[in-house]
Amino acid sequence: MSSQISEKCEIVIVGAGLAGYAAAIALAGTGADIVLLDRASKVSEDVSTTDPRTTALSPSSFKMLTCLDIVAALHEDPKPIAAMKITEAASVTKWPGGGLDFEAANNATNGAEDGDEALAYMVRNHDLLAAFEKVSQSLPNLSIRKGQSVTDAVQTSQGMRLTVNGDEMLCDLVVACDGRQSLVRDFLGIRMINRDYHRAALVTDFSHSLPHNNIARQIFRTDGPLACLPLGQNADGEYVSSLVWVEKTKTAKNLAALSPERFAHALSEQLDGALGDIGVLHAPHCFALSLILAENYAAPHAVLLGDAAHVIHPLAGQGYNLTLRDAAILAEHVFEAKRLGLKACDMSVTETYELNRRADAFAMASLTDGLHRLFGASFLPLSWARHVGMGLLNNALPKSVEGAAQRYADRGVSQPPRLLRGTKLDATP
Amino acid sequence: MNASTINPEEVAKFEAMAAEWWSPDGKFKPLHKFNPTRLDYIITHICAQFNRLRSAPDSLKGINILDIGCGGGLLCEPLTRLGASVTGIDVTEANINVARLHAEQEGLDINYEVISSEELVKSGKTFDVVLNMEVVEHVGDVGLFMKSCSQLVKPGGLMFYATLNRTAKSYLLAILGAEYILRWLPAGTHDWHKFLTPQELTDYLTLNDLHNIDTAGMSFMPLTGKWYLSKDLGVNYIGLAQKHFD
Repeated sequence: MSSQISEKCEIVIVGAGLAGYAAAIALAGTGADIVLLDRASKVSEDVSTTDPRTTALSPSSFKMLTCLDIVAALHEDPKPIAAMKITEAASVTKWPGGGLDFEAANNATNGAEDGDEALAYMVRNHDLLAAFEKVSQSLPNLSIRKGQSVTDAVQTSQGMRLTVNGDEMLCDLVVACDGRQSLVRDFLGIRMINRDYHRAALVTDFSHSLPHNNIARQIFRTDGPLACLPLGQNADGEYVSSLVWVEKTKTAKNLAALSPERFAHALSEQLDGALGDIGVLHAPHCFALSLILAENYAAPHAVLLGDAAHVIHPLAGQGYNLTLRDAAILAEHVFEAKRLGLKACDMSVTETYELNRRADAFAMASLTDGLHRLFGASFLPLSWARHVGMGLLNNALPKSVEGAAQRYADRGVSQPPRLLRGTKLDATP
Repeated sequence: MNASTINPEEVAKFEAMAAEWWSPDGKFKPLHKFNPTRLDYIITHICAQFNRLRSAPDSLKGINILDIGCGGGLLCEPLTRLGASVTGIDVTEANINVARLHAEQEGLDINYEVISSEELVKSGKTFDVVLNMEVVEHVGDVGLFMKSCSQLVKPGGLMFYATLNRTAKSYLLAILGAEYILRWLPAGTHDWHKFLTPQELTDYLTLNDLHNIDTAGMSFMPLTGKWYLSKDLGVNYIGLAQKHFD
């Protein structure tokens, strides 16, 4: 409290990753003045383009990013997932009748409901980040500052006081998008549940000789799922898929250390020849998996968003969709508050955000954690439960799960936020 | 506010009170809770009546609003942000000091005065919109009060009202519930016998050249902790009336 406030602003977003940019661009539609603080001094393109991670955008996430002009700014067109094929690895199945094979999700119900809409759209994370950066340049009420370290955050009666590079800033609302090890969350004294899955995900791209037909494949195995997500074709006309292969951490590290040829061979065995001959395009990256749920999602003058609030198992591909829903809900409520002449930090914003996001994140975390446990077990009743569960899963993933979670989260709210319906916030309702 | 004429100890006291008025967890939490619902009602009806675009950031630009019994300024500030020219009056000097201090902190230009509505009438000032929110249940002479409120509305202008109905339900919910059980409000804040039924209130409006346009209930949803407009006028109700053109 020694130094003077050097700057006052409306909303400060801490962390310029996929969550921070999504929040910044969504919130820009509320007309609020926004400062996005990035700890890095600049984005190294070499580093970012080697990030092999991809995201399966749900239809509502896709609508949101389309109406925020992000989709148009992508370098590569999003690749639709037309269907999902979920199988249980033969080694897991104990149920009489052998391997279970479910052709999933793009069934009559979904088809009739949504016409030609895909189940999800694949985008590369680094492409998404580049599109966010590009679009954010054109927003007059958004200022992006690089090389900014937040070293303290204190709630005062007049707002949130942030110490940034040694200077004091006062803002109405801070949005913590600083990831799973969020410092802002720590400064606010918000505790979290943190459980290590003792699993790691191997992530890379691979080419294959047989067409993927835009089908996402997920194989449930005892140690973790293996997903192949269609990424269209590369410049040489080869079919390309994104791989997310979950193993026990030690096994994953060993696999990651294999030569590309040996890794391709190991992958072929897992896929049982389903995609033909395999060529691994890049050395796989290894990401440790854990479950993190913050005990609170909001405090006076503050909200947690994205990984700072929740990190879930990737098996349903819902982590980033959850983050986009955080951003859409936050922007919706800030917009509503501002139209009533209230501030972005009004209790109607933070309390609604807390209630809504906690419910949604908890539902998604329970679902993914439950599936992880279900397939990690190997005794007969659970195997039977899996048999039943797979049928439910086919109906559930990815669309209905999202819908159900959102309905649960939206108790008392008549419809989803505008952005998830593909409507800009500045549009007259 | 001219700092030099003010006793620093007084300022400190008002800062503490301002913090209380404006703290979402302080003793005025119930007001903060239903502020969005009543603001929504007020802004929507003003926009409809004055042909304003509801979604515009300056939807109330140029509209003169008087808030009677403004307290710490919970309604004055948001309405000012939307462009309205707002006057807030309160007979409690401490409230006005708090309101002035807070408006200054927020950088908002609001005309606050320690004056009763009866006194203000003598100045001859009239307003496009007069807010008579959660006040009528606290005044001594309702007839006199309603008359002066009405005199402050321009011909064709609007008066908004909000208060508590005198029913068995309001006795249970507002008095026993809010004051004794939930401890939302200090016990003794309300005297149930002074509550007006919607009919009694609209009778006062009619007597004072006002034509009632709408009355709605404000209900509380315990699960989400939110207030919403309803058809149940049994406890809290809100409404608006238009002053006759002469």
